[in-house]
Amino acid sequence: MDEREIRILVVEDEAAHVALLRRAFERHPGRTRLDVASSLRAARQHIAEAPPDLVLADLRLPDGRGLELLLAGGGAAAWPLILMTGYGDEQVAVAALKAGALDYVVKSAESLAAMPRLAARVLREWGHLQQRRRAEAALRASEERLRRVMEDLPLLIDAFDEQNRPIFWNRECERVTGYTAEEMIGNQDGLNLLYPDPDERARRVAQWRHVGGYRDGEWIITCKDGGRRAIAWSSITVDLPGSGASTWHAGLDVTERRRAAAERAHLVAAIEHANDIIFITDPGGSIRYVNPAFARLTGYGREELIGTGPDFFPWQPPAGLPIPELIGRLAAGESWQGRCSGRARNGAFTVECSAAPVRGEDGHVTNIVLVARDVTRVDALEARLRQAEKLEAIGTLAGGIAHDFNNILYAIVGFTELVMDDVPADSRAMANLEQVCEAGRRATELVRRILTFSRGSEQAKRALALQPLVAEVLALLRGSLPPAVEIRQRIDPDCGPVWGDAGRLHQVIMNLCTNAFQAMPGGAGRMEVILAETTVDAALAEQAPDLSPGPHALLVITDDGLGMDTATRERIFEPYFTTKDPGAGTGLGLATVHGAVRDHGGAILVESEPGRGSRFAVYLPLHSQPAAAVDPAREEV
Amino acid sequence: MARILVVEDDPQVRRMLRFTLMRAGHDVTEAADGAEGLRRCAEAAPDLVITDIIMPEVEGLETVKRLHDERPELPVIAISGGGQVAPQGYLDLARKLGAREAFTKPVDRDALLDAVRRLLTEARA
Repeated sequence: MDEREIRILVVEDEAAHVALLRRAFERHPGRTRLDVASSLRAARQHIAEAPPDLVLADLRLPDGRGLELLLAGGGAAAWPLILMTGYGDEQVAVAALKAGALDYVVKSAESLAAMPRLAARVLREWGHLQQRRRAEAALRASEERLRRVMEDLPLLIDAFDEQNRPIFWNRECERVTGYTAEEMIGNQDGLNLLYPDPDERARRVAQWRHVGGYRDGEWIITCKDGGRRAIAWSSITVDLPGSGASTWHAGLDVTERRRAAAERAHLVAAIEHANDIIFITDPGGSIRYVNPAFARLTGYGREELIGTGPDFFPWQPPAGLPIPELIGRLAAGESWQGRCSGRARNGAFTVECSAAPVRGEDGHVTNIVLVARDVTRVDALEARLRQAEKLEAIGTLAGGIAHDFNNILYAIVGFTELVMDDVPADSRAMANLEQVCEAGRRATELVRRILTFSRGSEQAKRALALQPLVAEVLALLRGSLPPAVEIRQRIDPDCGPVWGDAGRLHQVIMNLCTNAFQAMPGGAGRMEVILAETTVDAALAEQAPDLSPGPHALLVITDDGLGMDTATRERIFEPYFTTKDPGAGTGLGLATVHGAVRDHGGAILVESEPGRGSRFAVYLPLHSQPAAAVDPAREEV
Repeated sequence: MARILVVEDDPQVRRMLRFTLMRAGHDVTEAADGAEGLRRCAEAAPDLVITDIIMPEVEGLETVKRLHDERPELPVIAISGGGQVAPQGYLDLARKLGAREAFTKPVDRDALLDAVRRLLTEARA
């Protein structure tokens, strides 16, 4: 037996019975202390002061019945009670046991003498009972905890039985779907509410049928308000003995995340497909992202650029603003807009930029975003337009000057001829006057060419095959150029005719070929003349505003001579612009070519680099092409 | 020998033409613009007119047209120094408006005198 003293409270108003009990416990081994209370009141006081291990209570006491002690404890007394009754009270015993007494005895000398054994047994039983109660309480507490956790977790947790009826529905399920547990638990239609589409529902349920293992998947559920939400579910089916198979789900509402991802995907797609250049750097200017438009413009792959600085390729913000300083200003929170030019793998480019810092949640600059529009072609077009306008203006001016000039020349030549009538034919004066007339003729020729340039010539256009024209020029050139000049030709015999003035086009070819020869250092080199039919597409037409899309004759004259720098190339068609020594050329050759080509509805494109020769490409609309080349108003004149 | 009216706004050219035509034996009346040219034509009843195409007042082309309207039989020679703004197609137009001959300045002296002789002969025939 355990060494602890067993405290027994005897609630008995009959001293004789108390004495019997004392005697019995004294004889019994084990340390036992008997306290006696002779009334309910005394017993209650005693219990309150020192809770006993066991109470032996008489049924009939002066101030009530012994069982009332149990009632005071709310049916869950902290101690066992054995009820002692007199004869004739047996019927009370059943009520006593129901009330929570562990046993009862009918008082007699024998039964009271045997009380210690009974007490020991009851105490053992009570010990077991208490143990079981504690275990049950612990289990209840554990279950409650589990239930609370499942109810309150920020996850949708639900469960369905074998008939697909909801058997568990936590608060997050209620919050997200709008359906309460009351509406759902046991509801045969619960599943239909969530998955109104029968096919979708069937697919969903098909996953539930096999036991064991987690199944993950994202499903769209329909909420009470008709809204649809994307839930990432993880499900498991468990087959518990007795309760049958049930399928449990833990779900995370990913609707917002999906929406954000979709938004982000749209944004990324937009940026990726934008024609504008977009790149993102860190505050130090190191490139973090470039879009494909950037790669297209510069010719650098994304992987080449990520991580490099913005000066990876040379480019130039406007004067006086070095890249590091620009980056510094952006990183400090300034925005910037401006035009930048640069040179990358794909050649020179000009972009219209707008750069701004991106701030993180804490307000610090986390990135710099630069958006730029490629204006290289716009720039080139503007330059060409300016050039065309300039030529137009010069042509107009030349026309006006030519008129007055012809009058002056006429006066000079006419009066000179009058003087010549008066001087002896073989005199020095006559010889000198003839020089005046000769100078007059040269001046006349010059004016004629100015007028030709300014569209001043008589129109003599007809359907004209270019092949014989090219052949004639080449024959002339062969006879006059040094043998060190190699002339190659590729003439397409099938190239169609143009609507043209043979004389002027002859001059175009001649001038271009002569120029090609004159560009050859030391009078030696290679010249190539190509005639082919080609189609001017929209892109080319955009590049050369004088051209309309359609079939054209393409005449290309290439030399491997000195070439030109950009500044020269931009001015070669201006009248009186010449790179030749003073007196060596009029500076009208290419201006005349330009005027003639333009007058034929064509255009001339030049490619050249210093030391790498030049390529003049003349586009003339084919005659089969209606109208474009022919201005009927002018033809009428 | 004929009466020739020279309509020309450039005084030097006008003077030079007068001398040239006088040496060829013609009587020359001068006019400095188209309006004067039309007046002189009415007064002097010339056998032939040489007119510049771009002139102030009544423009040269109109002079040609009016002369032709008034005296279709009168031979007119148009001369032009080339367009001021528009192309030189004026001479073609002058032909269409009634000028028998058209020359670009500076005009070859022999060509001009030949044309004068030829047109006068035709007119008398």
